[in-house]
Amino acid sequence: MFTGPLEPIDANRWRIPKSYKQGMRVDGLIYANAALIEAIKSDRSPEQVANVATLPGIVKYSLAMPDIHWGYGFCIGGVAATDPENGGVISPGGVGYDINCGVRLIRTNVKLKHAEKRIERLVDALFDSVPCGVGRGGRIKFTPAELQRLVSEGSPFVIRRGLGWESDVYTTEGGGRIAGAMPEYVSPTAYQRGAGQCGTLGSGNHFMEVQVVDHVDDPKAAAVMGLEEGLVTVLIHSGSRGFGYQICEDALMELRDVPRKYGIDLPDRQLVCAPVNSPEGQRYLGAMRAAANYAWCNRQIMTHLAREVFSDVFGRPAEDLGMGLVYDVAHNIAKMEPYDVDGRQVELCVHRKGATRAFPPGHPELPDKYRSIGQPVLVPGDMGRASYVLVGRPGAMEHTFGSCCHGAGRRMSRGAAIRASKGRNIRRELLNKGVVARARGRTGLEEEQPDAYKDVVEVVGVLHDAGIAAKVARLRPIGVIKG
Amino acid sequence: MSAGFELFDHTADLGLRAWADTPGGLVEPLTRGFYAAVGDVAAAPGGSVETLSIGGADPALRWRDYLARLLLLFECDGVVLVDPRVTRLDEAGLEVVARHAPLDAAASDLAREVKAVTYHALSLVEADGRWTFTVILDI
Repeated sequence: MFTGPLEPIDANRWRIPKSYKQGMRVDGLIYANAALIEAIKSDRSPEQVANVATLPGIVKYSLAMPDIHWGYGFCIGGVAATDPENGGVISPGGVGYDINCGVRLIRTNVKLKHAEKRIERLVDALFDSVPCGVGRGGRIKFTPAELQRLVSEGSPFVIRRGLGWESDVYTTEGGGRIAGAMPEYVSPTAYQRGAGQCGTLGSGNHFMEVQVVDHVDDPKAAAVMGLEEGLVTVLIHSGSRGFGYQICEDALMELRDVPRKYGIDLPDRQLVCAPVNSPEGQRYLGAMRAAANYAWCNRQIMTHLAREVFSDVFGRPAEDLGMGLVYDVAHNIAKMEPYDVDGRQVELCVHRKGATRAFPPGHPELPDKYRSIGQPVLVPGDMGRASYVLVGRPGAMEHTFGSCCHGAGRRMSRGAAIRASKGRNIRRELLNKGVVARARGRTGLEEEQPDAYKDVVEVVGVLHDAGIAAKVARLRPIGVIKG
Repeated sequence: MSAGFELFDHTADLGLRAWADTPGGLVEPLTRGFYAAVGDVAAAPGGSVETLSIGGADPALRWRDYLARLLLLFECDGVVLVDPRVTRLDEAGLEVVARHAPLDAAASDLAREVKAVTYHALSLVEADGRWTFTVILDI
């Protein structure tokens, strides 16, 4: 329970003044409405927002999106930008263990009425084809040399191997590759953990969903993305698997004594960090970028597998089914991005820990296709209700370092969700809602049941109203596979 | 002698708390607790008795690092530690001798993947003659 100050700024923003805690360099700022803030106060995530505000070189605010919940070091839903020229730090805790965990959305020409007839077969085939759950290895194998190229070159590398379409690169954040990856900074252990896992979903909250566009808020933007009511889509949520987890683990180990070296006092050792421009900071960034590239390859390979399954089930090539990639976004990452700070352009290190990039119309990093409407922002909700497609708005650049929420955010712990499932059959409940679900783990569906999450409508509504991102379409799940 | 462990809620993740009468006594409940977080983990016969050495002066970090090693052995090598016992615990570090058994996949029911052993809420405290270690596992 957080008992510190949360001062309302307006209907959608709450401030933790920097006077709250010794060492805070900037205010904390949480995006939430009055109802959400009550739930947010029930855990200690606002304390984590305050802790992040103590990081050297932090600019403007320590931010949190409305899907904020308790993490470690940073809260989930946290955003912090640091200025390297002003002692700004990079913190692996501000990225998380699952580096470049993210989401991608694939559209199709398949209409709901055609999918409904085959949904059981479709979900079973996806469940068979896409490796998921504990200990499931990938179907595509890479030699050590290939793995080094994969983490340097990102998704273009696997697409050249026939595991995707050329067009996929253009609708992946950063072209599916972040420059500056340093494979030589990645430990042998990380390569060992990642060797057999590229192209696997994993477990926990990772999923592949078959969905239908069931409401369009912005027909123009939806048309640009190829989305219209009644069409089936596929949403994939996964990250860099053991490769990224180990890179974070290695970095936290290597950086243990580094804050002392640079005279940095931290309120939580999970916030361990190094100046961006220090050798230690650059070393982590180089390895982190390798993990980011791995994650884009991971989601790219699963896209390929999903296309194969759809092609088989519907008896037509994936191209005929129009299975283009709408977009792929990272939501656990640190990136160097230019922002206007007090009238001057500054290259900042933007940490997004459970937060999605949300660039507005006209941003030079966007592909031509989306330059006029803004960057697609993919916000998974839960497997019983809905997910959202948004687009970035100018307010994101002004107020949140081009960032938005990444999901609905948990409101129940895993244990509480299991306890709340006692005597119930979650799989049957989902089926009654029109959702065919398959899960590998024995408690996966219980832990991830819809009630475990906040209502995504409310979360998205805050950022829509605040001018950070605008609603484009709502997607309703009809099939789910989980680890 | 009282030793045990519990798994507790931490929003999206899972907490592990273990206790024992002595610092070295933590090894058995911590090991059991870690595997319980993964699911029902069964060890096959065989393997070999080996020594794990964990360096470092911080007592809480040592146990965190021990769990991180368990995670790597499990995920990368399919190894389960059986009958672990501490053979050295001093300012230089920790040594644990155990049978490194192969995972019996057919007899195991793996519920979830542990991504990492975090530093969040990490503590080792002694109160009334009981040592308690707490850590959050990233799920």
